[in-house]
Amino acid sequence: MKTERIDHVTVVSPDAARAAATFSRLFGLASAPAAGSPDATASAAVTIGGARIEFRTPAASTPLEEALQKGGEGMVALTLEVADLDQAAQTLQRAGIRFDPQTMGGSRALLIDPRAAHGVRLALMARS
Amino acid sequence: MSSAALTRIHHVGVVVRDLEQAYGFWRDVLGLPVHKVATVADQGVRAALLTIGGSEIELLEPLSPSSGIGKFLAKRGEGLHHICYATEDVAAALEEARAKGVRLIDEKPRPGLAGTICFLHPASTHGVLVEYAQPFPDEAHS
Repeated sequence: MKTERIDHVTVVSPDAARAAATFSRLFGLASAPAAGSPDATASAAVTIGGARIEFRTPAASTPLEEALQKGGEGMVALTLEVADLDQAAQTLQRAGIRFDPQTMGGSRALLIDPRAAHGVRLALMARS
Repeated sequence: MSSAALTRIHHVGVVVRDLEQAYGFWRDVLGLPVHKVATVADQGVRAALLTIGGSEIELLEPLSPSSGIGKFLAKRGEGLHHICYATEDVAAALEEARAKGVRLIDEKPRPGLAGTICFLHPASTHGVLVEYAQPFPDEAHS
């Protein structure tokens, strides 16, 4: 698999806009368009060196809300860009790793079983 | 841009039970090359940096259950631990954070795996543990 870069880190927060504003103010990071997610009622993002930190306020009864309730506000997911998503899917299949194909901000993505990714909610996407 | 500016994600830290076992996924499946491995005895951790583009994934294995990483593992299990930003001047970046009222873990920069580093307290940053790193000169990415 050719894994090219960190696309974004996801932070769950009861107030995504406020969290993004805090990161802008404290770290001097510019705001960026957020990909958003079906399990979030609000999203906001900041950019750093071509990667993003994306903040999401969870919708009710979603895994994201469960993550907030269980672990509190903080980092919950990591999204990496791969050169070829189909090839990545084949590699995962060969390795016996379970994943779910999804759409993320209009791009195809593969959500990897966190048990295979050492507890990390890890998504792979290819640049659309 | 001031030298204290945070220019990129230096790495994302992930706590794992066992480095060798974690390589089976992060190195062998995702294809990320292991760039550096070191034991940081005073932090109670064995760590590996795996290159991804201009950033890295830092895998952290506790040396003992009583270390900070060992306690994290016992309480929360394997998973995301911290995010580290690169800066050209960690001391100046730390002073800026202090001036903005950020609660600090390290009052001054210290040597770490990623260079000269410091940690900020997650209480000031929406639960996210943030590290700043000024890479050692011979290890700086572009």
